[in-house]
Amino acid sequence: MPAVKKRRIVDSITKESIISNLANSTRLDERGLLDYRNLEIETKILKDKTNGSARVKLGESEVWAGIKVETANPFPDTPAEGVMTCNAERLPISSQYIEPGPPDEDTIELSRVSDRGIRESGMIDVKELCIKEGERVYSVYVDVAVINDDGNLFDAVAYAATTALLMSDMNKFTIEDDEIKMLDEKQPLPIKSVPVSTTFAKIGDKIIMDPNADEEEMATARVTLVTDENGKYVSAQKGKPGGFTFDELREISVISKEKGDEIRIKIREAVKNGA
Amino acid sequence: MSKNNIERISGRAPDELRNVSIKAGVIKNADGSALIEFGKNKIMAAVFGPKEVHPKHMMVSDRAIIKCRYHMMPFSTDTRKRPNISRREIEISKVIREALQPAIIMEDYPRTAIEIYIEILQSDGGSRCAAINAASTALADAGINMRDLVAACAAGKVNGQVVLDVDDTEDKTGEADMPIALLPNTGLITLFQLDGNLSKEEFDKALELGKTGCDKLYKLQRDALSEKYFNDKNGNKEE
Amino acid sequence: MENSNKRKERVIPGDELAVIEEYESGKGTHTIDGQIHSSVFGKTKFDNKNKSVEVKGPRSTSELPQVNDQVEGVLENDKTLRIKKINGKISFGSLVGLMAKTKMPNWGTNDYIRATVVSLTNGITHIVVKNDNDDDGVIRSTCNMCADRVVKVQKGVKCVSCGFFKYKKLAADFQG
Repeated sequence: MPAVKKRRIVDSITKESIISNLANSTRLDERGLLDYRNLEIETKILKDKTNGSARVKLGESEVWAGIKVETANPFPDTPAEGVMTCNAERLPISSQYIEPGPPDEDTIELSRVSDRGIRESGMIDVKELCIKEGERVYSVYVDVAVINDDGNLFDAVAYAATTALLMSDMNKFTIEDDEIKMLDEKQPLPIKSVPVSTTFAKIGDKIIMDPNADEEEMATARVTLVTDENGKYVSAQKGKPGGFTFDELREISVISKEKGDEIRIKIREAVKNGA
Repeated sequence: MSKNNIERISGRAPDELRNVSIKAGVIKNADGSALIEFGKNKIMAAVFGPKEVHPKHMMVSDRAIIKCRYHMMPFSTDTRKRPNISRREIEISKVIREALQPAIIMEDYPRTAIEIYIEILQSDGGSRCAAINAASTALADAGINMRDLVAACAAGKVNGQVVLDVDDTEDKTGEADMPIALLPNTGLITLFQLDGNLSKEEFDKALELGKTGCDKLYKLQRDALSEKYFNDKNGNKEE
Repeated sequence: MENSNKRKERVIPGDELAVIEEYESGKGTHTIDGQIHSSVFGKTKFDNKNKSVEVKGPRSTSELPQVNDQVEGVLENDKTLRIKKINGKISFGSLVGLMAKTKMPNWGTNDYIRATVVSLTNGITHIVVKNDNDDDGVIRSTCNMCADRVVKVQKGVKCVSCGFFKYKKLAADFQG
């Protein structure tokens, strides 16, 4: 239960300029308070071994996602449902502050929040991932690697995982005489919805979106909200030892939806260009 | 969308909490402790500290550090839980710590650690909220300087209806679960999670409902503390 | 007096007590935006003479040593004292006190001593053995050469087996 980790060092002159800039509603990289950094999405970067892959660059944050679709035995309580797991890893190459070894709290939180966003949105219809009830189901493994950490990994990981899933395909199977046979054909994953994650940070009493690493370190509170295509809120996670007021959360929920729609268009475009 | 006449599985009203009882000071060796029974949840929280920081390099020279461990006993769940610390427990430990931290005046205890241990003896839905209430009561019981108590309660959506305090059976069939922790005097939300499916109106309504739940738990915590310190010592002389 | 009767007697953390224009914030309270709030659970004490307010908690096991408190503990080396008791109450925090620099250290490692807190600068508990205070000083000691039992001899201790004598500032209740 580590309470204080190796923490990112933000020099005081940067801190002061971030705060004085925020007082005038500007940011050090000349963004508005509610602007995202440049979002680059590339697909099919690892096509030889993965079923689907994507690379997302959000400003300087870089994240790679790869999908493996395999078959497995179903869980006994859900014999007709496939399995989907999403895992994120912060590689030691991504930052000076990360060391190899078992994942720390932050990585586990990142991993679990990205998993929850995809799972709760019902993005993949697990019922259609069944090959033969009670015997064989598809299991979709989403693994995301953080290559370079410059803040807002929650969003970057979510976009990479979502895009990779949209690009992914899986083998087709038939059942002949009670035996499962693999066909040479491929089919896309049963995608039902595209969840989009948005992250807010609170510095002083200002709320900003898409915090970079320095801003994230300084923020007293952070909240990630995931919306789906129908404008529903599917997942949320507040982090860092601070808080939001009720009014702030209501305001955030409105902005999250608008921004989410903009980013969803970008993800769709990237998928269209990649296909 | 939501109608008041939809029956909940447990027979509760939409804005009704499960039976909650909080008892402060249940563990003698701990500096502060509390037992909460929140529906079927049975959770003990104990606070130790301020004490020496271990390992040393985690010491902060101008404030205390908070350590928090959320731990489920193997017999607390339907099927036996494996005793090793799961990723879920690590995440919940983290969010609980971050929910309690703004309430503690850490600057009063430089170079020390305050340890919060939460043991789930029997689990039902909403154990993290119940754990926060128990931990907050235990912190006050330990006499740690605090800006405020922390009250926590979940709101959710079951059968298309926004309800307060989702329990285990409702969580499995329900559409959404939104745990909230609140510092009642400052109105700051320090724990906020959501999984499920909520429209904008339902989102706002769940927030509102969660707030009323937190207010109720704040009162229960206050009662638990008063009961321990005043009723048995000085009788009801005042008030 | 009537004023204080109207005020809350039992408070929990976060309860508003007064504004800083009226009272000064004392022990067990903190101020946010000019409002005095209670930090602990307990009873309020409005001191109308000195215009200060404090909250007295029902227990104080979780308190750090304050200035002028007496602490007891074992000397781990010349400088650090592992605190075992604060004002006679057992403390489980295994906190550390830092001995103030003196010309001649009249105590040795592994001595059980009683000392007075003199400052809390930078969050460090600075303690000193006051020469003019009979309570302060070594309570239990062993020989610094052979670790055997010692007896009080004049203003110091003498080992019963090797006869090593060392001057030590002994507390009034020195127990050997």
